[in-house]
Amino acid sequence: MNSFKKIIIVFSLLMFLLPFAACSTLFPPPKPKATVAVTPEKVELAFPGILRVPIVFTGTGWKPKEMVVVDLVLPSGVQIQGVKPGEDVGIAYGEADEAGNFKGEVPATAKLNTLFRVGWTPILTPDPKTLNPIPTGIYTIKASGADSGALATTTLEFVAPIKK
Amino acid sequence: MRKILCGIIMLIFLFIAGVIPGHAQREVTYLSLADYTAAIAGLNVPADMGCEDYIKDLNSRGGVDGVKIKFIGVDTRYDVARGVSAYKRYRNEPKLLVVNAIGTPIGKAVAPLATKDKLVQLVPGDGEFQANLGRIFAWGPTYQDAFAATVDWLLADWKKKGKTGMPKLGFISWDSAYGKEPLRGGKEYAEKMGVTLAPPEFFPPGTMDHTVYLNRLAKADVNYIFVGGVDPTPTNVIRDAHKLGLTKTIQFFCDYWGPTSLGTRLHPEALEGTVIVSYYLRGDDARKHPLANLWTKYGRGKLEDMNEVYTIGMAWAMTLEAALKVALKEVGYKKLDGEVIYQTYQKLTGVQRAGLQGPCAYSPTSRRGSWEVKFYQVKGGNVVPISDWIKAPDAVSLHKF
Repeated sequence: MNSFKKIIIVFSLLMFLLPFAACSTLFPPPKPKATVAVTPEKVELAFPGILRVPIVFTGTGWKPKEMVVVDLVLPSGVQIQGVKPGEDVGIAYGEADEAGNFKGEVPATAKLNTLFRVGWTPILTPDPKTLNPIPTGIYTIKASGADSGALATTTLEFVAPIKK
Repeated sequence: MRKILCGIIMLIFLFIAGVIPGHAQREVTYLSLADYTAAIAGLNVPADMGCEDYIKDLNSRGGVDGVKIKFIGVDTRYDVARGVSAYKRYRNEPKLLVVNAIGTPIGKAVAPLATKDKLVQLVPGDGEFQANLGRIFAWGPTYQDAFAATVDWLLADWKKKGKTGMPKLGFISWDSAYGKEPLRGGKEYAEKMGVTLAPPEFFPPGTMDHTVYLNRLAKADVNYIFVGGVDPTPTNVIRDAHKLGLTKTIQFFCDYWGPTSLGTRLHPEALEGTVIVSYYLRGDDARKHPLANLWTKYGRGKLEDMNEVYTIGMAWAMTLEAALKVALKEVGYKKLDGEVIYQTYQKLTGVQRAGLQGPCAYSPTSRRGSWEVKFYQVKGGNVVPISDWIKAPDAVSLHKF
């Protein structure tokens, strides 16, 4: 191929790409990446103290008004009643606002049923004798958008109760 | 040569059997966002058994025009976060048509998602979904309608007892969306009928002792008390009222969820005389129903141990069966989707479910599973009928949602 042909090909390619580059609507700015963060990052598995500690997830970059579901990823071997092996377990959710920010708090029921794996008495009240906290350690948190399918992860550390 | 030919024919046959939909299992999915191990498990477990058994039975008879129903039950432990997460996990199940959210808080949280996914969602008795018509359908009359029917009942009772003036009504229930729902329209109905409502008492689910709340209602000089909560909660509230001696002077009522056989076995003496407003059969009415034989057929135990809510589950399945019959006739299996089933649920007006509850009241303007309620009373440890089916008043329209 001689150099003239090369120039023609490069030029034609540029001419082809020019309209796409000029038309910004065909190249919208990249979507902001969905994020999730948790406060506090470290939670003491102390009962009933945990019921007084708000565990709050916040995030940005979600599709406006979509529901964001926050799941705790269970390491293998950690069993939770009602959750099949290999499944994650929902611990919070929240709706993104117009700006794509969401906030969701872990409710008391999730603290009891999931973090403390509590059993219920025959008269259907939580049975304090059955409190069985999940193993301490760093857990992966997975937030996902119900409409966009966007996914963001963070970690949450559960620590043993500190003796006072 | 002959072997090769046979092989080719076999391969062609397998290919056809595999790709032609008519040869594949024709199935639709029903998802129950349930509670099998926590606060409302006492009633949800038998209710879902009823639903699952009816579906098993229907499938064993070939399904609906050959279409079988796949029942998926997820234990959310009455936890909204788990309910939402479970819905998200199962929302893409093939031909998912109906999602039943067993608890009011889960129902409200999942509603926007099920609506976006164009599915039919069932909820216990939220008037909100009758006020704002959409894809969310109540199982029976709304909670506020049942409360209003109770107001009518107590007024008749007051008159029958020859009392003068107007009675005063107390209300006690869970501090939750469910607990407060009966008053959203029910309060307005009581006021309209001239019944004074004492300030309502709300307590957290799981409360062991209800005497503080009951004492406040007693001090307010109420003549009747309406008790909410899912059994055994109402049983335990009336147990505490009995200990305080309140059941001698105050007539207690319960809504749909108490007391069932779960409660009457625990505290029959305390519950004596309690009046129950119900949209489904209770006590022996339920256990003597011909369909109750599914309880024993599917190995659930002795018939006398059948909790009445087993029949509610059957009614959910029967409603879906009726909708499938219509939808399959109109569009066939291939085009069957959430939108079709939503349109079909609105055409089920008047459908009978073997008398397990009143005729279906779903229509383009109604999301009530039925209009009728029946009053029962605890007598000698049994729940016995004290009325026929009565059409409940519309209390939803009295409230601004």
